Amino acid sequence: MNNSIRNFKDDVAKVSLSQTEKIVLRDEMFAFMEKNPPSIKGVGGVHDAKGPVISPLNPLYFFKPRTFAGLGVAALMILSVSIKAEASTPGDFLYPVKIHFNEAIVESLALTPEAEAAVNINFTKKRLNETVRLAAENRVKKEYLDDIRMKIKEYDSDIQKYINESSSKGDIAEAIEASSDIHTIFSAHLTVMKTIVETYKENQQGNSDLSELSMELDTQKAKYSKQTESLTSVENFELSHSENEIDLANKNLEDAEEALSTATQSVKNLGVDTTLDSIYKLITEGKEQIKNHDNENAFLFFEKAEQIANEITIISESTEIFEEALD
Amino acid sequence: LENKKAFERAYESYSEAIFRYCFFRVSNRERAKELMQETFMKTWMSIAEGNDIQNIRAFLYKVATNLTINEITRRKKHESLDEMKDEHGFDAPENIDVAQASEARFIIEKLKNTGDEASELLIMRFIEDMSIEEIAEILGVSKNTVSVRLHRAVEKIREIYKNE
Repeated sequence: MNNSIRNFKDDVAKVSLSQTEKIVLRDEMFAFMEKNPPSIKGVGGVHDAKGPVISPLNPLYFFKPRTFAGLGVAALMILSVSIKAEASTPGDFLYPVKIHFNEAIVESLALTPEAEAAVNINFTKKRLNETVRLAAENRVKKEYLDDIRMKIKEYDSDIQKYINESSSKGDIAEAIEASSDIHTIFSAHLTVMKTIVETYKENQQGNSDLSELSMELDTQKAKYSKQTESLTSVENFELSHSENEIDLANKNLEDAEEALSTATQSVKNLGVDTTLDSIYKLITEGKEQIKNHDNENAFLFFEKAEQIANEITIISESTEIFEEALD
Repeated sequence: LENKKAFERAYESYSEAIFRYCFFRVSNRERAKELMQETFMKTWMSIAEGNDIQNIRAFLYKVATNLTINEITRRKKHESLDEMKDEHGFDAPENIDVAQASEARFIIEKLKNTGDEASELLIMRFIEDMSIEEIAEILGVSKNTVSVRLHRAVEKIREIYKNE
């Protein structure tokens, strides 16, 4: 702070009340307060510059019964509109509520890729239902179909992305499930849609937009059919490959059991050298299993080898005890 | 009871500052004491009526500002500030040090040279250590306005002390 301000502060600080003045004024003030106590109804408060102390539970005060009632009525109204909107089709007054409110909420609740894919499949189903309803009620308009077409393309892109990602991660079963689901939905709706298109033609009320959309969806259906087939064959190959590995492991186990049997026989005949050979054989087999990443089988081999080694030790100790007894 | 204690604490903490603030604005020691008491009485009455005061210091200064403005306006109707000074002067009461009273007269002269608005701002900012935000709230102007006016006031006080 510069000197001017400091001097100014020093000068002003010299102006003060004397101690006697302070006492007199304070007594006057307190007497005034006694004469004018706060009214019973008064709920006023005094807070310093730091502001009032607010209870951490303060937000709960907001939820008074009247507020609850108001919120409840509002929630019921929203729910009622939302349910009515679900049955709407393009061109209806509540259709924007269905798309921008109901479905936006559902979409925001899908937090995993699986859930997102399921939501997109469901939305595709809804759009196809709407198309069928429009066609059945003879309310088809180009702008409605264009809108539906655009949305189905968006869902398709997301579903395809999920299938590709699942497949590349090795989750073939999930990819097949999604592909198969969407294929089934296209098949079911296209059957109905084609029937309606045919009826139109018979009545000479051909609707080129609907026929066009129907053909486009047919292409989509074919794509998912092919994809499901291809993914299934990949999964079958992987399954058969796994089966081969299991067969090989079983064969190794059989060999090991045979070796164990031979070893046990050798121990019984006290042919120690032969027994040791058996142990080495078991250990070699175990190592092979480790190379094949089959630790479970390897453990079995080593366990058997250890068992035989223990039996040899017991026999050897027994022989020593017997010889000592003879001496 | 809690409000009473809080108010008593506020009286102990801010009474002298409010007195000083009134004193530099009305240039009369006895009147400043009365205005200071009136400020606290009005504030107490507001609390007693059940009003909630979030920032007691700012509230006290607002009341004091209004009271001193009324006082100055009332006086201006009857006499010029110079006449007023001659009439009431800074004569110290019997229990006030004569040197102190003389010093007060000297400072008031300096502050008068900065103008009413500038002296008010200088006291709030540098004597009472108020934030720009608090001053803006009390005076009912924006923070930018306070900053600009304060800058000008500081320039004036610098000039005055430089020429001493």
